Amino acid sequence: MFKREYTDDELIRRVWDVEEIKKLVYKRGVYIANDWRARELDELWVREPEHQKTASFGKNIGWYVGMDNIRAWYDKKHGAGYMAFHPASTGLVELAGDGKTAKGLFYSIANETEANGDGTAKALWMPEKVAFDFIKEGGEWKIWHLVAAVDLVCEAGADYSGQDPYPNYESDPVMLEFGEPTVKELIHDGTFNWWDDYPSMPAPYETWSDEISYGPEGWKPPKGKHYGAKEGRNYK
Amino acid sequence: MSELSLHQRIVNAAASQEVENVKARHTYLHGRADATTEWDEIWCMDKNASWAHAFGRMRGGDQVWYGSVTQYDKMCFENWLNIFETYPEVGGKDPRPLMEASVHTLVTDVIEVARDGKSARGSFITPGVIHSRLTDDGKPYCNVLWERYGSDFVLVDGEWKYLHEHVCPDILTRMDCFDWAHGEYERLCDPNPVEGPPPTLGDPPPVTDPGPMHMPYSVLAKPRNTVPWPEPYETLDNDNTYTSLVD
Amino acid sequence: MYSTEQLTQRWEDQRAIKNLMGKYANIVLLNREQEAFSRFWSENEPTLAFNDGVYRGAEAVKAYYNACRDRNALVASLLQKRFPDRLGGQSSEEIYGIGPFKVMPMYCPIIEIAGDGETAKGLWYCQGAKNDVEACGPRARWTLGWFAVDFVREADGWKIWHMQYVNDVDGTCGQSWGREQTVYPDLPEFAPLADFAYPAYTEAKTVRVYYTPDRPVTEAPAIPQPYEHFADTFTYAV
Repeated sequence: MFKREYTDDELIRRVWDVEEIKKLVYKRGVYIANDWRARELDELWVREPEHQKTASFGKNIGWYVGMDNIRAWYDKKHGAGYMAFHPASTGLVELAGDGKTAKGLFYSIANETEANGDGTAKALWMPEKVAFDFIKEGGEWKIWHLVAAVDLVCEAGADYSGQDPYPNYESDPVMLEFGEPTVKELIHDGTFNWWDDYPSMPAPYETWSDEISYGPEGWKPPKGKHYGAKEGRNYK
Repeated sequence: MSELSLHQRIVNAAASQEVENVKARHTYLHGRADATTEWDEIWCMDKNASWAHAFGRMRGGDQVWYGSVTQYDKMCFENWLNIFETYPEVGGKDPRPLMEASVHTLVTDVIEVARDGKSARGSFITPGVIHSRLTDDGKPYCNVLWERYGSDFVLVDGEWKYLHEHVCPDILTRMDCFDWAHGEYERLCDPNPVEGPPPTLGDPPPVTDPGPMHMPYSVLAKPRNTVPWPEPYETLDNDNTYTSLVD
Repeated sequence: MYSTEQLTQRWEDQRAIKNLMGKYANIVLLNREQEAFSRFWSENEPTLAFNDGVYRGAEAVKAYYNACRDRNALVASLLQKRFPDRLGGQSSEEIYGIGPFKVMPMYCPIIEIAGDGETAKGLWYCQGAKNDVEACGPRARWTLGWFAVDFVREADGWKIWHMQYVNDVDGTCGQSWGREQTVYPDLPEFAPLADFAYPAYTEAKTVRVYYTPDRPVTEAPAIPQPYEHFADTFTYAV
C-alpha cells in the first residue's frame, strides 16, 4: 500500500482523530451502562441520510441494516434491576490515509444483569469482540457499522463447563434479545472459537471501499466452511 | 534530558499510538493462536528478541520462534488430532484457532516513548479469558487469566515491532465459579493438602534464563513487581528495558 | 482551533494522565497505598469519595491511605500467626504486603483537558478483582465500578485532585451478584480484622448505591465534557 507522508500538523491531527474515535467507543460503554440507547443512536451514530441508509448493527446471527431498522430493534428502555457494562479494551484503530473513515476492533468482557421479578436477577457474562467502522460527519466521528461477535454467554457464579459444547443461537439470551435481523447470516459461530476470524483485525488502508466494511456488504464466508457445527458425520 | 523538537514530540505521540496497535495485534493474533503471523509480522526477531513467562525467558529469534511458534503449533495440532473423531466438522479447518481463544485484553497501560524516538516501553494489566468449545473431554471451558505485561518495542525500518515481552500470570481459575482466594486458604489449612495448580499450563519450552521469573497471586505471598511501569527515558539501555540487552 | 504545538501538548497531557492512573492502579496492587498520596495527589483541598462517604482535605485523604498500610500490616501479621511454619521468623517489615492482591484494571478512559490546560477530568470503568483477607479469611471479590477523577497541573506534573471510586458490585467471585450471596462465617484467626476501622469519613453519605435486583437503572458518574476553565464545568468533588 502507498504510504503517505504527513506534515507535523497533519500527523498530530491524525493522532487526535484516533483518540477521538477511541473516546467515542468508550462513551458508548457509558451510554450502555446508563441505558441511553436512544441517545446512543442519536448522538454517537451517523446522522447524514446516506450514511443512515447503510448503517448496520450486527451480532453473531446477522445485521440490522439502516438506522430505522436498528432503532426499531435497539431503542428500548430497561426497568429496575438492569445493569450493563460493555467495557471496550484492546483498541486497534486504523485511520484511513485520506482521514475520512476509520476502522476499529475492541474486546469486551461484558456483563449484563436483568431482574427476574422474584427478587433475584440473572447476571450474565458475555465476552465479545466488537468491530466498528467510523465516518467523519461535519468534523465529528460517528459510528457507521458495528458488529458485536459474542464468544460465549454464561451466568455469573455458574460453571460454564456444564453447557453444551455447541452454542444454541435459537435459545441464547443475547441472540433472543437481538431478534430477527434484516440480514440473517451466521457470521460468528462460537463453536469454532476464533477460527472464522470475524470480525477480523482492520488493516491499514488508504480510502474507503465497501469491500472492507464490517457491514454485510464486506462479509465473506471463511475459507473451508464446508461443515458447520454438528455436521460432517455422514461419512459413516 | 534534552529538549525535544516539536517534530520529535509529534513523532513520539504517533509512536505511542502505534505501539498500542502492535500490542493489540498481538492480542488478536494470539486469540486465533496464529503464532506464525504474530512472530513473522510484528516482532523484531533478532538476537535481542525475548519472551519471558513464569517458567523463564527465551532469548534470541530462534529460541523464541521454537517456543512460541513451533511448540504452540504442536499443541494445536495435537488438540486437533484428539478431537476430530468426536467432532468431524473440524475437518478442513485451521487447527490452530480450534484449540482455544486465549484473549488477553489490554488496559491500564503506562506507555513511554524514548526521547530518541527509537524505542517505546509499556506496562499493562491484562484481564483475560481463555475459552474453547470442542474439547477432547466433550466439555467447553472458559478460564479467567489475569496477567501483567512488560513490553519493549523498537522502530525497525520505519515500523514499530515487539522486542521484549515479559508475561506475569497472576490469577488463573475457571470462569466465575470459584472464590480462588478462599479456595487456596482452605487448601493451605488442609492437613493433607493437594498440590496447588501450576503457574503455567503445559510443558515449558527451552529457555536461556530459567524461571521462576514471576509467581502468581497467593494468600501467602506478596504481589511481585516483576514488570515495573516504565519511567520517561532517553534510549533503550540496560537501565530501561524488560530484558538485559546483548551486544 | 488549537495550534500544532497546543495539540501536541494536550496529547502529552492526556498520555500523562493515563499513565498516572495506571501507576495508581499498580501502587494499590503492590500494597503500597501509603505512597499514593505523596506520589499522585494534590495537597490543595483534595477529596476522595467511596460509595458511602467522602474524605475531604489532605490530612483526611492521607490518613485513609495510611490506614490501608496499617490494614495490610495487620493482615500479614495474622497470616504469620496462622502459618508460623511458612512465615515465622520474619520481621513485620519482611512480611509486609503478604495477603492482599487488589487489581484495578482501568478501562475506557474518557479524558478532557481544560482549554486553559490547568485542570483535566477523566472517567474510567474499573472491572476489578479484589483479593483480600477479611474476618472470614481470604476472599476474592469482583468489583465493578467507576473511577471519576479531577486532575490539576502542578509544578511537578499532573496530580489527582478529586477522586470518586464507586462500585456497583463488590461481591464474592464464584457467586452471582443477582442473588443473595453466601456469607462465610468469621474465623477466630482473623477476628481482629472485624475490629479494624478505616478513619471516619469527613462526611458519611451515600455517594452511590450498590446494585440490587430492585435498584433503578443507575447512571455512571457524569461523562467529562470539553471545557475551558474548571469553573465552567462540574466537579467530581463530593
